[in-house]
Amino acid sequence: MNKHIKIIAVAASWLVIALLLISYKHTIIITGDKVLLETKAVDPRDLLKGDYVRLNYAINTVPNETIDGKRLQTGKRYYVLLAKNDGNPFWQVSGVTDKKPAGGIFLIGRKQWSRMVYGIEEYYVPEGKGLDIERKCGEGLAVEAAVTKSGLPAISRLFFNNEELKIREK
Amino acid sequence: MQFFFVILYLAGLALPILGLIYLVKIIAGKRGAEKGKIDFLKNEALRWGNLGIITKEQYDNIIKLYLSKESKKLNLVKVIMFCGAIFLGLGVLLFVSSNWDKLSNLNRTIILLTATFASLFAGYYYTEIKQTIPALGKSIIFLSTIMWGASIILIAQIYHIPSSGNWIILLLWGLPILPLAVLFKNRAVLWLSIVILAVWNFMYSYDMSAANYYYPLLALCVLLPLSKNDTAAKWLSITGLFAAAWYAPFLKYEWLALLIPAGTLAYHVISGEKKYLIASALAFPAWYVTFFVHHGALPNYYAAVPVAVLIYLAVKAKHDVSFTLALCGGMITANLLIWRVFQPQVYNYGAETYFLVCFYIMLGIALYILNGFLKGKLWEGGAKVLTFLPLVMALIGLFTISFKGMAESLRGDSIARLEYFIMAFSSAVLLFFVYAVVSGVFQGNTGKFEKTGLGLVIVSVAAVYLSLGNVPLMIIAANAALFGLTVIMLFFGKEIESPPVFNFGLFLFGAATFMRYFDVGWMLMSRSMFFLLGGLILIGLGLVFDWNRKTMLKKARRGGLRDETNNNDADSARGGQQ
Repeated sequence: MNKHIKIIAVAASWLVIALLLISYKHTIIITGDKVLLETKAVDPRDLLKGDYVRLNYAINTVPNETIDGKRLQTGKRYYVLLAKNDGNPFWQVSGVTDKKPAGGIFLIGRKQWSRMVYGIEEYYVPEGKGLDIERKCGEGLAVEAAVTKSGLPAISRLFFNNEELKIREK
Repeated sequence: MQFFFVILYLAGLALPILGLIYLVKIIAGKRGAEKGKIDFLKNEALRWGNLGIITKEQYDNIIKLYLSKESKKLNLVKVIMFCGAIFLGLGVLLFVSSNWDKLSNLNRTIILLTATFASLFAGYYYTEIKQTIPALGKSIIFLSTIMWGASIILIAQIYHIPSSGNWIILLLWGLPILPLAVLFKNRAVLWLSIVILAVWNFMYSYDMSAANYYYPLLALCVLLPLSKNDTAAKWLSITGLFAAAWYAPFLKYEWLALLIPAGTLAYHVISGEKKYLIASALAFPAWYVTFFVHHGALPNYYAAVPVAVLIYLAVKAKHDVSFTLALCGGMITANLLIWRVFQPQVYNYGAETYFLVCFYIMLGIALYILNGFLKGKLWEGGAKVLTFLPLVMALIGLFTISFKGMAESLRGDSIARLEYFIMAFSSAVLLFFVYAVVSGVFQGNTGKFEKTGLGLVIVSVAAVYLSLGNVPLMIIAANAALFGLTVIMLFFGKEIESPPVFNFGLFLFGAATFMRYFDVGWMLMSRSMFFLLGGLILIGLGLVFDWNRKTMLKKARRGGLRDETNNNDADSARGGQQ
């Protein structure tokens, strides 16, 4: 009987982990505020997960790389504030801080050399379609990301020339 | 359409499991019958002993003759078949997954998770409830841990978690399977977990550009205590820790750190204890590498002195482990010194790396031949080290240059001084090989395998040099050598009845095939076809070995016993296994 409990405990822990991982990302997509981000696709491939399109967002470049006169440091976490101008559908960087902002839409980013990365830089696609998308969508590609109140992002949809790109047709 | 793929997917998952159950049942049944016969023989022989017909020694010899030989041969066949079944399953899975856009995310997740839990419980059933075939249960549990990893990877893929988040995947894979290893005493799962966590450490450090302090803590406080009686697990953890240590380079007073290897070496000289020699052999190259990585400066030529001293002391102490470590340290140092000599001519990292790998392949070949000349002059363990280490070196080297990316990194590079040096060295090794063959270093059946294997590697490396710039030809040459050598190792290991050689060949065959999955896109065959073919080849190999065994048995029955020396070698080699 004791052994039954052991195996059930292991299985239950696995199930909980899998569900937590799913729900963690899924809640972001469902509950987060939607922001449209301008992006470009560049070279694919990941050893574990197969083909993907690497996305280079306009917001990966932070215009003024200083806080109170001090330069941003590689490897550190920052809060990147986003704002939308009238007439422009894309959200853009409006500021960077190292303290959590009280309100507004912001992303948690990690400074990596000259870029600010948010963990939404890769989009996985069915085998063999990565290069296609890359070739087609060098320009005019946009991502609709969901952002939680605490600044965690997840990709929810991909747009090309204002039309939603559906890569998995059913 | 959707339904069709679900069925195909499930079939892909069920196939390896069912195949496994079927195969192991057949083999276990065979072995059971075999065991019955042996029990009968044991009783009879005991009776003869009691009656004074045979002596105790003769009794032991009789039992040994039947016991070890049969179980071992069956085991090897089982292992090959097992791998073949897994390969076939993977082939079908890949075939379906290449059309996976037909399945929705939800369905794919559910299918994979269901399969994971199904194999987990099936494995549990065979290990704990129906304990007739524990090996089967253990293999299925191991399979479930791999499927668990696949599930996590799939979920990460669905939600576009980037490669920089791969360390999360490894953590979520390696840690939750640890309880399984402990609760059900599954060594394979423990090894998998330890290896995954070691890779996690690297990924974490790399992605976060920071040292991972959790890993040493985990290894020291959890992994090492858990691998109490498991030497392999211990070595895996120690290797992981040692590798992790390289991520924390000493900063200001790096000279003080030299006190560690120097001090332990002094202790060894004073006390003669071998563990100090091991520590020193580990710490010296670690210091060189740390110094190199952190300061971007190469050690000077004096670095060769402690390495030479270490090799000398290890030979003097006749200590296998230190000898291996000292030789490895020597190679690392040689690498750094070669860089020091040729650095001004460096054009591109890819080309330099490629040629250095070729250098190590040829160095391995040279050491192997040297060992042939030294036959009888070294102590037994030392001779073994000099057999295996060069072999491992050459194979890892071939494995490295068999990648498409490696060959591509060379494209358009002009030949620099380093390349000329390495080509000259390779030619010297070729001459050495010819000299060894002419002077009859390799003799008998064993020699035939050695000559074929070494010759194949030398010819392939020469082919690589001759086809520089032609990427497909280079890859074909490197892969021909790699796969040719692994297959030769399988037969060679069987011939000299050495499980380590056989298992390493098998492991490499699997690893190489698996890796081709990642970069085989340039080939005409699709990945699924590749795995299907690989599975068929493995199962074919298993059948060949099985047939071989049967003919050997027949011969033995007809013509009496084989020569005695061969059997003694086999018994000593078998000691390391199981």
